[in-house]
This record gives sequence, structure tokens and C-alpha cells, in this order.
Amino acid sequence: MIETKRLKEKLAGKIRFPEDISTKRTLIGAVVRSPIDHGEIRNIKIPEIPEDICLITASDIPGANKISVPGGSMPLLARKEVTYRGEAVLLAAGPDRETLDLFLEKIEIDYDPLPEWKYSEEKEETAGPARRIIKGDPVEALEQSAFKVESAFSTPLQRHLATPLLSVHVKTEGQKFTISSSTQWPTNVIQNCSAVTGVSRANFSIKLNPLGTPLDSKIWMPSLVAAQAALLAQKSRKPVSLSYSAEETLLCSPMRIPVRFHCEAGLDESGKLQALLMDFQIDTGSHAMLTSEILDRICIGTAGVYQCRNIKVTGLAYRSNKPPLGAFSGMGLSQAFFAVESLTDMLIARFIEQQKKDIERLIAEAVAAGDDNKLKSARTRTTTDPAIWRSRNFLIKGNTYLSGGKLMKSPPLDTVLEKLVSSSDFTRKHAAFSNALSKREKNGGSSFARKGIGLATAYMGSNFLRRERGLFSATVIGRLDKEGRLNLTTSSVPDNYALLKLWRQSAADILGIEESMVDISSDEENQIPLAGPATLSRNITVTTRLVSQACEQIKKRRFRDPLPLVVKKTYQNSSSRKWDTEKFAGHPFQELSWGGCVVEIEIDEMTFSPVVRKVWYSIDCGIILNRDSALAEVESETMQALGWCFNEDPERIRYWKLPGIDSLPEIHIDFTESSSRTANALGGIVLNTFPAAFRNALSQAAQSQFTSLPVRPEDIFTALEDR
Amino acid sequence: MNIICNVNGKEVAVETRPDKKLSAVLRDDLNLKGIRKGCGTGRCGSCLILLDDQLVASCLVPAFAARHKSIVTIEGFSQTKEFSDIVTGFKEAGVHLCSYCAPARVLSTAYMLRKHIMPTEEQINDIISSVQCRCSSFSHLKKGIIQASIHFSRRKDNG
Amino acid sequence: MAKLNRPPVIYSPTTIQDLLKIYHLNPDALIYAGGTGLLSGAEGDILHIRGSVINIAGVEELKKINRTDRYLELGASVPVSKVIDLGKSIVPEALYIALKQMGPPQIRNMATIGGNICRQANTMDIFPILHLHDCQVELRRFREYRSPRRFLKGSGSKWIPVSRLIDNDGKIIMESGEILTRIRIPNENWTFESYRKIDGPGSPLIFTALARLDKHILTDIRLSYSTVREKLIRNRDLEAEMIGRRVPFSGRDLTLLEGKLEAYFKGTGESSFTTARASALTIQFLEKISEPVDEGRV
Repeated sequence: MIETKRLKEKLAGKIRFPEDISTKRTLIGAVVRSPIDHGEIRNIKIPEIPEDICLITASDIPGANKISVPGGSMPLLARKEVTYRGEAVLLAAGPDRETLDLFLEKIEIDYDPLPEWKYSEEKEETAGPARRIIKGDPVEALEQSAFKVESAFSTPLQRHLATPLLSVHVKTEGQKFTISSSTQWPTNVIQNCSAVTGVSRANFSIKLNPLGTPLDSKIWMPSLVAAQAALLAQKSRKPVSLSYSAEETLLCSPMRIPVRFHCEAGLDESGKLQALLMDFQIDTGSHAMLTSEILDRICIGTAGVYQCRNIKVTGLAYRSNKPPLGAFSGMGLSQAFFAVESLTDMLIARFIEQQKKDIERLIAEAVAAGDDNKLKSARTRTTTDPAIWRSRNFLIKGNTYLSGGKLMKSPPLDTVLEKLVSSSDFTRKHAAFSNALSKREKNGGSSFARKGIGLATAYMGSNFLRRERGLFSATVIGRLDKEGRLNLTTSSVPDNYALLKLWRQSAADILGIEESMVDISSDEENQIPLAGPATLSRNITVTTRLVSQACEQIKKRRFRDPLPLVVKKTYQNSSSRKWDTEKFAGHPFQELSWGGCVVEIEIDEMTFSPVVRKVWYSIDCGIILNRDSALAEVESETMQALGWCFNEDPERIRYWKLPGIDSLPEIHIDFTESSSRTANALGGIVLNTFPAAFRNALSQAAQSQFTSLPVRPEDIFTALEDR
Repeated sequence: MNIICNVNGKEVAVETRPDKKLSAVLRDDLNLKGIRKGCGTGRCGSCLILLDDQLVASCLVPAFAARHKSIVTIEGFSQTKEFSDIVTGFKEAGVHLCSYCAPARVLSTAYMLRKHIMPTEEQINDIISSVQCRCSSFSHLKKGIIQASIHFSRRKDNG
Repeated sequence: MAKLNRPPVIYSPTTIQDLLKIYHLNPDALIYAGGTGLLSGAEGDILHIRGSVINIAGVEELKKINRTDRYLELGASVPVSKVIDLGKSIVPEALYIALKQMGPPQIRNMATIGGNICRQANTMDIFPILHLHDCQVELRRFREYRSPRRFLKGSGSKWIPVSRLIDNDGKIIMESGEILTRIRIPNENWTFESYRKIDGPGSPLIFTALARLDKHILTDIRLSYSTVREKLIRNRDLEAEMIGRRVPFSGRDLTLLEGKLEAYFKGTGESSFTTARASALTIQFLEKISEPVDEGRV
């Protein structure tokens, strides 16, 4: 019933966002931004400031002029140098938009443009975090390899207009501030507002508004917007509403980090992976925020899901004049798996090619010798295929991560792959398409459609690698009152009724009370000082567990201790799965989900566009909490992935097209619930597998290796022309 | 400029700049916050309304163009029985929408079902394209719209 | 930050006569019909229209749809969705397909036929179809006639082929104070019509084609291509070469035609990618018209 009521409210548009809050006293805020990519502020000419206008420059900030996250920071207002178009230079608030605009029009800011930051190893100003990890002797092992492949890969940035647009409302009462925000990270909003205003954290409280579909673009940006509004509220002593326009939201929002890879790999004669050398650079934008986390995740991801004794990974981040870039689904793993799974496919193709040559040679020898037995045995020899090769090389129990931690049990990759291959008929189709295409090329005709089928396998790690409490931990406070009503307070509340219902159901089951007696709310009173953001499936994997733990404890104590009873459960670093960020050592992920994807593609030879006909997934993410939601999530992530791989043009800021319903392929999903008795990350599995499977399928269809995303029709045309 | 129009069944008069976006007039001057601020180019569909029974993006309509017209927003539509049909249909199909685009999805579905009570797949796909949001699964939405159409027609049949 | 300016003056004529007179007196005014053209890029809550606006939404005459045996006549401010609602049996197939592809329903409800033609950026959408169909447009302007006895006031009206509406650079040619009021689409029976707009990633291309067959003889064919560089590419020599031929085309004929088309396209300076796309679309059309004709079809 609660869900129906909430659904009705949602569909009737009754849910409110910060931009909807307004009172007569509320001032409207605005940000004056840099119109150039890189430059020095020469002069700011401010006219006489009317009484009803409040203006803030970098030097007016009472606290720290920066927004921080563990491992990174960016300025709140540019003081001397602007490092990206759209960077905030001044803040202002006025009684209404028109009065404010009239004043802002008179402000003159002169800039001396500076050259754009271009990546170069020598330039210190553009250097960001870096990693170099070596396992075994990869250079020697590559040298000794029977088959070698070398290739560059690149993945583009991905934009997202995250609605609700960035907005915040800050109410002041004396020294107290109440912030309304749609944020993935409420504790970070408070931390930063406190730091910039110089006011103690205890004076801040936060009201959470729903998030929409942020795709991780609202991890730290709402903290910046809130801090800007808090400063204006502090100075004007009035409530302030600061809402970014669509243009501003797009200009400043974090985007998916683009990555360039250079990869080499080698197999021995039997096809075993001997050496893997992965070198990559990521563009972090003007400032590194969660970059070191993303960098480390890419390092781990590029080692793939295969046994290999000799691996070298070198990664570095460099700064550019884009806004600080962000995470998005997979938080780096998507880019890493695109590279390593594409490279794997190339390697397998080389191996198959050699196997075919060997068979041809054996046949020729047998024919020449007139040996029927040899001929028979040569003819019955088969080549491997991308699925068989993978199943022979998957990681197993006892193998180590790149960071040294041992896998405590064998990943369920075999099961995942088996289901995937059987439902998609991969092996037969892969061979059939190859044969049809080679016949077509030999005959010079076009009777066969250009079809391809591609496969990729990967994992998704939930939660952060860095174990700082402010990033990694989560807290649930359970309070059972005298009337038997349970209130669960979490550091963030998801805009997902299925998950809320599940928490409510789980609490009601444990305590044997009616679901209607369970309330779930966000932490408005600032009782949870440190918690990480709602990302990386933390709500599903961490908070769900904490809800159960808190309720179990209440159950034990409720007849012993007087009511009201308050229990606080905080998620801590596991003692058995330790991670050392400094040394890049230990168990990187608390929980892993495993998955595979097969993509079937046909090239439309009139438009040179890839048409994704069918997609199959096999996913083991532990217990599926809500099947309908899970299916919907896989479908919407597939469309995101398709956009990243093909439809979305990263160069177009405003008018790019998202893939529409006409691009929706037939999707088959198989969930395996065998490997874990808990719910693990589902979000990210699609983005970690689909792109490489897409590329592998397209490369088969065009009989040419594509190495960059997005693949454009022009690229396909050129590839076909070159053949 | 004084704009007189009918909003959700009531005559209203608003004093505003003629070139103010209708979406802003409805949100700021008439406090109808179910209209969301979106892309500002008419594509994302966050600000959909019915203007003289036609589905339009209110961010593309200047205030002067709304004079003497009839406007229905989600606030008005949610008082109808048709709204309940859509809620039931979406619930049955397990449609998950974000709170931001949800009202626009409802209004666009209603617009289509009023035109085509038993819609074809093409008509359903077409109306789904009126809102661009990454939150929803197309196949769930499709099911939800079909379910809603069943409730719509059942109610119409029952008079 | 957007510069504030004074609110625009809004004129809301209800008759064509008033509209023409107001436009005559305010030739720089912005004509507002559906509004889709006003707003691309308007940041914030105010559209910041300068000067004056003539809102033609109240001119009923411009919203009329008229059908005769010889043509379908659309008033300039008929919304795109209204034309679609007429159905495939009334609206030429290529036009119907093009209009359906013109954005999501809310855009089609607002956009008008006349607006689409007059907005230069959009002429790629339906212009080639109207051109191939030999459509005519009516242009009207306010005119004062001097007669010896008294002043006679009236409006000057002229019908011109739609092709004369744009110059060689693809820009709309209309005189000051002139308004496009009606579009006339001849009722002609084309056996095949095709419209393909490729506007996904990559350079956009529009291909429009009409063909008429009589007992397996191609009696007329018209092909047009619109690219970013050229609003309208039409090779009448190639069309003339095909007219009178028997279908199906032989493989050899198709290869020859493809070669000629590619050579022509390259001559226009288009990339080999666009050339390949245009050529593939053309060959597909020629193959389609070679298939047995469905008798129920016109």
C-alpha cells in the first residue's frame, strides 16, 4: 500500500526537488563562469553592489576555497587561473533573476588566454596520479611467446544530462543551515559546506531529494553547488536557491573518463596466456577528484579474468582543460574490460588462424605422403573458438589478483560462460558467420549479410578500493519506539521503491511486525558523520546487509532493554579482505559479481551502421532481490552501453542523441544465483561486458579490427573499403 | 503582458513577460512544479503539457502563445480517472521511473491513449520517444502502456 | 549571462489581410507559428526575443487543409501532426514518412509545414520531397494599388514552384514583407516513393525517390540527395537515361548506373563515404522497383 501511494505521488509529479523550493525571502543564486578553456584572470571590474545583491569572490570565502573528496580536490571559485570553460569565478544572489541578471551584466572580467593543456610526460602541471605494477617477468615472457598481439584502444568520454538538473536550496536560521540537495553523497555535502563556510558541521542538516538517474555524475558535484549556495546564504543571511541551467549542468557535470590504452599480449604454443602488458593514460579533466580510485580500478581490470603469470600494468592520469571528469557505471572497469577483452579476442583470432594453417599443412603433408590415417586425423582436428579459449584460461581458486590477494574460491565463470554459449548458440554462429563471410569475400558477391557475433566476460566489484571511512563505510541506525514502530535511518535513501520495499519487508520479517510499522528515512539530523556515496551498488550490497544486521540486533535486545531502543550498524573494512592503497596490495574488492555478454550484430550496408540484433547476458550477482528491477536495469544499461559504443557523439555538447526504442535489441538474460548467498553488484556488469562484445562482433562482421569507441559509420565504411 | 488562459479547468490571469517560457510561467507564477526543468530544447520531454489537448513541450512555448488556451498539467490530469488507469497499468507491468520524468511519461501516455485507445506497437514506440530519460526500461514501459490501455478501454466500455 | 532586453511587442492578427499589413509595417518582425524554431539555444527562462513578434497562430486561413481532384493544399501553419493524421492514402508516401520522422510527438504537434520550409536549417527535411513532387507555394505580401479614382488596398499573391524558393546556396529567397501562405501538392500517382533520412552518427544524408511504372516500363523517375554541403543534389541526366527502360534492371545496368552516380557524386565534392551511402540507397530503390508490383498499390 505504501508503495502504491508513493507510486501515485511520483506519477502525479508530487515529488519535490531543490529547484522547487521557494519562499518570499529566498534569494536566487547565480554563478559567473569562465567563458574560456584556460586562462588567467587579469582583472575583475565590479560595479557598485546594490543592497539587495550579494556577491562573493574567491577572496571572500571564509573557509577553504575547495571541494574535497578522499584523494582529490578542486577549487570552489577560480582565484587566478581558470582551467576549464564553465569554471566558477564569482557567486551572486539577488531577489529575482531579472535584478540579478541586470547586475551581473555590468561585471567585467578580463582573461589572458593560456595555451590548452596537452598531455606530455615532461609537463609537471598536467601530471596526475600514476601506477606501475609488475608481476613476473612480462617482457621476457612476451619475448618467448609463440603468438603476439599488439594494439592500441581508446574509449571516449560520455556525457549525461542528469535530471534533476544541479540545484540546491539552503535555508538559514541563525548559525544553522538546512540544505536540500539531490546528491549521491550527503555526508560529503555537509563536510564541504562546513569547510568552505568555516562553520562547524554540527550546524548543518540535510534534506535529501530524489536523484533521478545520475549515472554517478552526482557524487561530488552537488557538494560544489551546495557549498556555493551555503556561502551565499551565509553572507546574505537569507535562504538561497541555486539552480544550474541545462547548459551549466552539461558544461560542469562530470563525464565518463576517456582512456587510451596500448596493449601487448602473448600466448605459448598451446594457447596459454603468457604475458600481458597494459599501458594506459586517462584524461582526468582539470582536477583529479576520484581519479586515483578510477586509475586503480582500471589497473586491476586490465589484468582481465584469465590466468597469467607475467603482467605489467602502467597507468597514469593527466590533466586537461575539461571539467573534472568522473566515474560512471563500472567506475573504470568498463574501460579496462573493453581493452582487455578486445585484446583477448584479437589474440584468439591469431591463435585460430595459426591452427587453421597447421591443419592445412597437415592435410597437405598427408596427401603428399598418401597416408589416409594421417589425412583422416588432420581433417578431424578442430580449431578453438573464443568461448573455448576463455574457458581454458579463466582464473581459478588460488590464483592471485594483480595486487597479490588470492582468490578464495573459483569464480563462477565456467557456469556463466556455459549458459551464455548455450543460450546464444555462440560456437556454431561464430563459425558459421566466419565461413559465410570468407565465402562472400572469395566470391566477391554479397549474398550473405555481414553478420558477427562477439563475446566478453568480466566482473564487477562493489564498493570502493580505498577504505577511508568517508568513502567506504555506510551506517544504518535502527530505532524501535515504544509503540513498536521501527525507524531505519540511512546515510542515503534510494529513489527505488523496489529496494525500499525490500528493506521494509526484511525488517518486518526479522522483527515480526507489519510492514506499515517500518519507516525508512535519510539522515537529516546529521547523525552519520561519515559515509561513502550511493554508488557501486553500495545500497544493494552494503545497506541491505546493515538493515538486516540492525534488525537482528534489535530483535535480540528488544525484550531485554527498555524501549525506545537504538542500534547503530556501520560497515567496516573486512579483516580477511584487506586492501592497502599505498602499496596497491591485497584484496581489491569486498564482493564480486561475474558476467558474460554475447552480442549479435549485422552491418547495414546502406548506412554502414551496426544493427545490434540480439544480446545475451549470463550474470552471477548473488541473490536477485527484485527480478523485475534487475531485468529493467540490464536493459537500461544496455542502452547506455550502446550509446557509448555507437550512438552518442562525445563532441556534441547539447544535441547528441540517446539510443531510442528503435535501437532496442532483443535481450536475453540469465541470472545465476549460485556463487553467493548475498546480493552483489548488478550495476556495471553490462557496461563491463557489452562494449567489448559489441566490438568483437562488429570486428567479425567487418572482418577488420576496430580499436576505438564510438565506432562510427565512417570507420565501418573505411574498414570495408580497405578490404 | 496579461495572459489569460484556462489551467487545469480554472480561468487564470498571469502578468508576465510575453517571451517568458510557458514552463517557467507555470512553475514560478502558478506553482505547478510537476512540470520539470529539462533540456530546454523540447527533446527531453520533462516539461510536457497538454495545450488545447495537444502534447507540447512547454519550454518551447512563449507565454504569449498560451493566451486564451486551455492547459492541462500533471496536477490537473492526476485528478482524473484516466490517471488511475495509468498508475494501475504501470504498477502491474513493474514500470520503474525516476521521480523526475514520471509525470511527463504519464501525460504523454494519456495523450496517446486518448487518441488511440488500443494503440499499435508503432504508436507506443512513438510516444515512448517523447521523453528522453535514461531511467526506464523500454520493454517495461511498453508493457505498462499496454496495461494502461486495457484499463482505459475497460473503463470506457463500462461508460 | 544572458543580456536582458525589453520585452517584445506581440501582434496577433486573425486575418491574412491584417497579418500582411502588420508584416509590411514591421518587416523585421519575427513570425511565430509553432515556435520550434525560436528556441534552440535559449538559455534560462526568458526567450529574449528582440523587436516584435507576429503570432500567426490565430489566422484561421493559414490552418486550412483543402483537397481537390488535382491537389492537396496545406495552409502554412498546419501542424505537422495534422498532416500525418490525414493518413498515407492522402499524403504522398515520402512526405508522410518524412513528417513522421520529424522529432518526437510534442515537436510534431508544434512544428508547422510552412515553418519547416521557411527555416533554412530544416530545409533538408521535406524540401526535397516537395521539390520532386513539383509542389507550388503561395507567397503573399501587402500591396497598395494606385488607381486614378481612389486607393485600392489588397494583397499581392503569387504561386511559384517550390524549387524557386531557394537560391543556389540553399538559402530561402523571399522578399521583405512576403509570407508563405499555402503549399500545393499535386495528386500524382507514383508507383514507388522512397524517403530515407540517415541522421545518426556520421554525416547526415537524405535520399528521396519517386518512380512511375507502366507495364514494366519506367515512365518517370526522380531522385534527390541532400547532404550537409548541398541541400539538394539532383542529376536530371541520369534520370533521363533511366526513363523508358524496362524493369527489372539487369545486374550490368545497375552496375553501370552505380558507376555513373558515383562519378557524378564525386564531382560534387562529396566524400567517398557519402557517395557510397547515396549509391547504396539508390541501388536499393532501383532493385525495389524491379520487384513485382502489388496490384493494390498506387
